[in-house]
Amino acid sequence: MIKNNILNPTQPPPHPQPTTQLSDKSRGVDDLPLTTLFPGFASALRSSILQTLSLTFKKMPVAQFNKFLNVSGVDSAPKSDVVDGVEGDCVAFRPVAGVNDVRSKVENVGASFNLVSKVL
Amino acid sequence: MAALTSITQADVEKLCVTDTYNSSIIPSLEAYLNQSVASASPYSFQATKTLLKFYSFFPTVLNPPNSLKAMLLSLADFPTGNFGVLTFIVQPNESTQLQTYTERLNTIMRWGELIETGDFVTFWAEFGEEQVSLSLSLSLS
Repeated sequence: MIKNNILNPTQPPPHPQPTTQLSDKSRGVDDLPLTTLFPGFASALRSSILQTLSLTFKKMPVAQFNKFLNVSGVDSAPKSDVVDGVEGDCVAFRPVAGVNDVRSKVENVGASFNLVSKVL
Repeated sequence: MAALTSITQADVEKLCVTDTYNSSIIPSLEAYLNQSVASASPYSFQATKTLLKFYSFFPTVLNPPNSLKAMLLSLADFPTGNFGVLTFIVQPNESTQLQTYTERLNTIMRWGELIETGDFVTFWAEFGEEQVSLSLSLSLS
């Protein structure tokens, strides 16, 4: 008689056993709205958007910048080293090391540029 | 295996390689996910993807809050395509037993669509509504 697992004599890991019943209540979803599951979500997303904008643009109108980040002013944006300051009505971003012109930056972020350009 | 309270990114990513199909690493992956949500550890796409893969393979151990956290984490990692990849692993479950989970997952999918298409104005408006509904539900409870 051919033994089981003859091709793979090592014992496979056991399947995990369910620890909860199959319902939302018992799994804690009802008690945890999205915004409390990850309280830092908005801040983390703003930082990511800020990084993307800085890679894509040298300057951007403050109003547009605020729309992207959903903030009332540049000063209320998350602390970041990518913003160089405000020049007139525009936010100036710090140049990205090793990338000097906007076109190169755009190529570096590819899809991000396509995404941002739809809005501007 | 490293202690669950202080698992590092290197540890968890090594587990993903050495124990790719060993479901006993789920607690470590969940611990690391919660560290990332608490901003105590950097986001690891590999660890997140592996955890969601296990939830997909073994629906009985699905932890809806962790699944939602994983999706939110990857969405915040904009503009990488990680969120898009995870949407192929995590599919909304039409089961009536997981209705709330499915609704919330659909909300995150919708947010992802808005962010990835550059519709930030609509996204922030919907995100704001979610926060308002949260404060309302807290005040009623």
